[in-house]
Amino acid sequence: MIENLSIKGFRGIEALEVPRCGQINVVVGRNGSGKTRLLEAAFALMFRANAEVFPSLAKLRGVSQELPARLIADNYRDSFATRGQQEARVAGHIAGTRRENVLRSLPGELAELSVPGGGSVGHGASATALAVFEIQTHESAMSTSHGHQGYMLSDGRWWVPRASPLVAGAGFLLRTPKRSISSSRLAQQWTAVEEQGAPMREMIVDALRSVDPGVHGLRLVALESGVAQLRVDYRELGLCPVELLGDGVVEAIHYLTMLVQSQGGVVLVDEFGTALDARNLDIVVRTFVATAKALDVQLFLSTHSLEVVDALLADSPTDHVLVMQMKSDAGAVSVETLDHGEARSLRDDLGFDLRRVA
Amino acid sequence: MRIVLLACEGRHELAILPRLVVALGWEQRRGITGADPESIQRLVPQPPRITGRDFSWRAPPRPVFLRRDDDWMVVQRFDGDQRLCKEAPLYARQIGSELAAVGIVVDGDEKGPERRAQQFQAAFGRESAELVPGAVVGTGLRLGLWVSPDNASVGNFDDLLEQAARAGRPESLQSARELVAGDRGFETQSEARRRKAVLGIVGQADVPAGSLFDSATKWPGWIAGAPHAGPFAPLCAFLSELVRDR
Repeated sequence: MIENLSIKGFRGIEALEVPRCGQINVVVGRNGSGKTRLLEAAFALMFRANAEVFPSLAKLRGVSQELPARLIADNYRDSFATRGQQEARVAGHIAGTRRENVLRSLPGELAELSVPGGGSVGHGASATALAVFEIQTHESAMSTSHGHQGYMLSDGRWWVPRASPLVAGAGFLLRTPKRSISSSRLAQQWTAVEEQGAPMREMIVDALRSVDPGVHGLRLVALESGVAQLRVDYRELGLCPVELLGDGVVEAIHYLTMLVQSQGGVVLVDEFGTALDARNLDIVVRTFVATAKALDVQLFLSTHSLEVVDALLADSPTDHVLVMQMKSDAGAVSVETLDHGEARSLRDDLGFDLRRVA
Repeated sequence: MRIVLLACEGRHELAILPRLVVALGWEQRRGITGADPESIQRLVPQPPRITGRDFSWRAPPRPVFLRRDDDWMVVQRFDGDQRLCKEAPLYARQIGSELAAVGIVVDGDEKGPERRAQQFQAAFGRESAELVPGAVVGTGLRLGLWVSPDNASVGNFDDLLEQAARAGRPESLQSARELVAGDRGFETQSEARRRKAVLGIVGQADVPAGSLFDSATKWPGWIAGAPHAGPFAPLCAFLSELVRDR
């Protein structure tokens, strides 16, 4: 779980401190206020040790999927650092308690692992790591620094994973699900749902049914080429590919299955709920939040919808939602955080539209 | 542009305080339009959807807006001192950098006005500037506290209203008291509620079928006929200091 963020020289943000993050973070603000950039910074922090972070960010911004990753990295790297600055820096504290997440990424022969700031993972103690991500823009090749990140092994050596095990299940959703989500990708996510068992599967199908009563169920099928595909048992159409359904159902499937695949990690959703009718938001948000809580997933959701903010505040357990109000004043990005109680007081008791930031 | 927030406890304050500010030369706005500043528009409540809420949920109160040249005042009620203490600082934060002063009008209690001052000083995180009942203090964002009725005795805002009714409408006040005392429907009500009923009736005597707000607005004789001389004079002086341009 990301506990705080410190951003410098990243994507036009000179300096921004996010002093605290909650389990469910709702990011609001006007166009250009820095909502997506905040999500990108969190993404960069999570995947700091992954050389694909630049191509991934560029693709999220709409860069052609066909361009080779190396070409994207070379041509778009500078765009992620503020002009004139030598380095872009995103730092933050990541804490996690999920022992299995750590163990999952360990080399098999390691029986016990010591974690800086915590006790022995083998005994279930919490793990804390400080991550520093640096982009050297003046060099031709991108380099990352792991100076403060890593795990001390029982023999005293440091072990730095390629991707932090604490956020091993992190995911990122796109803003245009219909064009960017394939049924083969959803098939991977649905496999994770199947692994959770029937109750999880039924909960998700129930939520989808309330969005579109035509949905009877979901099933994995194997195509002739051996590729798995997720299909929806839909009213009189029978088993049809997910892409053929309405945007709202596709978005809901994507949200809910992505959560299951990201167990113990962080999920970032830009423009949450754009394809969902306001009347369906309640059930989708309720299922989304309950699933995130059950699977220990941290959420960062940006939105322009007041209905989304209301639904999250109304249906979430107390103290789980943090509202981040982004503001850009003459290029200087700042953020005001409201905890669950403060946001509900302002919204329910005083009628503030929390999207309209001072 | 400067914005002054006047935070009060209840409906009676929300009805009367704007009349006193109008007497200081401000114009009370009947509505906010798209031509008004964005920072004022966003203070107009946007109630959440009803879906999923229980019947105890209530619509947020509408603030009263006043204007003088480029300066704006927002008068908002918070329904009780506990909520005022908790929510007024949040409200002030949402107004942002244009907020120039915050005035708090709260009822006195047995613990004394100094205790009230400490309570609100802590709520607004202003340990350095000492808040004094009846005064406006601080540089930058100024903070003022009025503890009804007179920053000294135990009482509330209705004491001020009763003094005004006694001076301006003695017959109406006597009739209203007799009416309430003789009505069995009020027997189970608390003393505070019976007093509110009396004051409401005095207001309605001036504007039949109207509210206390209508009375204060359309027939201000007993409330703000002479704000600088009557029972409201000290409060008017406090408000005058609050809106003063520093």
